[in-house]
Amino acid sequence: MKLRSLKIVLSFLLLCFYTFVSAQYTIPEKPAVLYPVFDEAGLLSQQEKDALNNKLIKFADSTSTEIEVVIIRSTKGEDVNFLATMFGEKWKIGKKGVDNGVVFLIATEDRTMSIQQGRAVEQYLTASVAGQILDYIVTPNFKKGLWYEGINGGTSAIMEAVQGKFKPEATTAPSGNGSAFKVLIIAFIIFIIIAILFGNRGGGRGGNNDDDDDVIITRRGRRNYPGGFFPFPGSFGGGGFGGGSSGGGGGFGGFGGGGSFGGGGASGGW
Amino acid sequence: MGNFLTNQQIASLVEAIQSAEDHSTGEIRVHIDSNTETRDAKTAFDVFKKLDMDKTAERNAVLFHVNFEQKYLTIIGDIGIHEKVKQSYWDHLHDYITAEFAKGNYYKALKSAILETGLELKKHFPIEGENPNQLSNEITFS
Repeated sequence: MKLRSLKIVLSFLLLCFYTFVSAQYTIPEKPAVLYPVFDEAGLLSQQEKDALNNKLIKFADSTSTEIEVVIIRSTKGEDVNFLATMFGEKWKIGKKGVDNGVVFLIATEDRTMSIQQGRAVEQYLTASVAGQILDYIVTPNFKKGLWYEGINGGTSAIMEAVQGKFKPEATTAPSGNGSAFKVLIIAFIIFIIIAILFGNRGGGRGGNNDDDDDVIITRRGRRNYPGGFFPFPGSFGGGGFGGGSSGGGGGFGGFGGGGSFGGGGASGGW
Repeated sequence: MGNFLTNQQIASLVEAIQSAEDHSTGEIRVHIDSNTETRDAKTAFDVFKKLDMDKTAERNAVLFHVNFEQKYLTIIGDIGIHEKVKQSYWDHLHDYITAEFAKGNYYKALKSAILETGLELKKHFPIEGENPNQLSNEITFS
């Protein structure tokens, strides 16, 4: 009796395993040398991959946060978020024991994607931030078929979200935190002293005619620029260029509206 | 400008503007803003006006307004050139430059963009013989 039920369970398990292997996406073995961009779908050119790899490796070196871009054709019915998490788990993205990896999974044929982050990164790169990155930066590019631009912009935005705020090994140690804070305060005080010194001396040093001085002067002279005398009723309505933290922030649809200008252009950050 | 562009590169960009404006009535200017602390197109448009770029005969001036500190780029094309190239042209140009800027290729991106725009101006606003330079080719700063 017992044996029989065990057999049933086993064959059931086998069946499950079989269907899992054949019907759903199986995560490939982790490559011997894993680059930040894993492009199974052949979406990017070698040059584009190199550029992204370069950027992400540098970022991982300086912050220890690892961002892995995985591009596959199809999830084969698997939930894209689940699959992204599985990639992270199986390939052990992020520093060991710190859980600071980010997986950016793109399934080209399904037109779905997901950003999944390790626990340590989550406080900076929250799910809603990740969602915004996908909606406002990645998706508009992908819709135009600009794969590289979308991925480049998306990863830059992820980097921005995580950047500077997360340096595990060095600063998570309590003592490290304290001393970093002290250093900051000291740097700030020094900065103020320098500012005062230079501020006083500024006038007397007129003879020096190099570029930097000019910049400072114009800066001072024009800083209190009174806002709001924009003479054109049209304004820059239209193509949201606000939130674009990187990768080009779209156009602003001409100066439209009032029709007094009628020219065009594009505006946005990088 | 700090470490974004060297004086030599700025001089070379001025030359690029000259060659871009050759054989066309179009005008190109580059303005580098290191004083504004906002990220919007309004500042750029004020500069566009201040430099009289909206007063060219065929309304075909193009301004590249760069704020390195704020990581913000605005391209403005006057109505004449805008009617020819349409919005998508500016979008692509903007995407290209910002992508290069993100990689730190400030000089290269600006130079290519200037020359690219020059080709477009030659195509739509060609001129034979003498070309009155309506606007200075100097790069301006604020």
